[in-house]
Amino acid sequence: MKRLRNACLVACIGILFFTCKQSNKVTFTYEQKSMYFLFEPPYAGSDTKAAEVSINIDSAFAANKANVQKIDKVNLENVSFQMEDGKTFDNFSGLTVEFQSDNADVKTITVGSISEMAKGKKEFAFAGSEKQNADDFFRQKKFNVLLSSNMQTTDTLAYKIKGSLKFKIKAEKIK
Amino acid sequence: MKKITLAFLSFLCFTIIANAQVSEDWIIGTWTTGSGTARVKIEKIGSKYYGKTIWLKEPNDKSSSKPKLDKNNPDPALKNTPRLGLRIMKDFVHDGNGVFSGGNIYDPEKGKNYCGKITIKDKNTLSMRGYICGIKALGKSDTWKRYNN
Repeated sequence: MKRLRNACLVACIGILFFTCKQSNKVTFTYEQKSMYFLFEPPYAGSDTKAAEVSINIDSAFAANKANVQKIDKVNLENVSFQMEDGKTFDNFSGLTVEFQSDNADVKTITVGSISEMAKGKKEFAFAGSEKQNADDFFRQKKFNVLLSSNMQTTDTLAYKIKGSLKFKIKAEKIK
Repeated sequence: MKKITLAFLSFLCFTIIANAQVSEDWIIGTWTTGSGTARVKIEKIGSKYYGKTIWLKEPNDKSSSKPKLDKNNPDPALKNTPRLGLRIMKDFVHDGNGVFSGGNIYDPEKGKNYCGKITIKDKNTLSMRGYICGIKALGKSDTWKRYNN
């Protein structure tokens, strides 16, 4: 009986501790809109274009009362691409999104990809990887987003793609 | 006469040293792997070097006859990434004299990442070494040849 009581007591303390710890965290989303990737008249085969992203990290964290110094995790929740000028993605075979930085200590990560692309579509959206933590990129405030694709045929026209990213951020609350 | 000989010898030494030096840019281009089953295009993005598979001897999956995907990737969100165009070398930095390090190499057959070191042997040959990060002795080297169209 005494053992059971002690076990219950330990469990209660554990739950209480876990709850307190959890409440100290805040989770919010951050959207990065209007990145542009220009595929100049592409050749058939693999091609990569980059767009520089500047994150206004301080204001995003301040608005959510989150401590910018204590980021737990940054995940790309969703990524979407929209073809401009009335064109379609028909010449594109798969899309892969990576985050890249010139900082030698920050390693490139692949955050999302799509392989099967239906014909006639002007926009695509897909979920990002939950495993890839992008907090190193966020801390830098500026990084590159690489968009890679296999072009099916050589084209005479350029493709302009507008991209947007939605991040899910977990950080410590400002007390 | 002595001065002329000295000048000539200095010039000769300089020429030999200059020719022996490897250019950083030699790494850029398309390379055929040792097995000859894939070609990798190495390019510079920002200040680092990256490589992606741009040709496969067998681009389609035998069972489905569809283009191969990175199905062994440990990240479920990336298992559908096409193998053609897959970036298998990332973040290499030139250390000097044709040696590149700090990057990693991904083996899509095993779905594993390794630390890497690239050494340019000559303009058309490079040595690619992949090893378990932190244990340089546990690794494998492969010789890649430049692919010319």
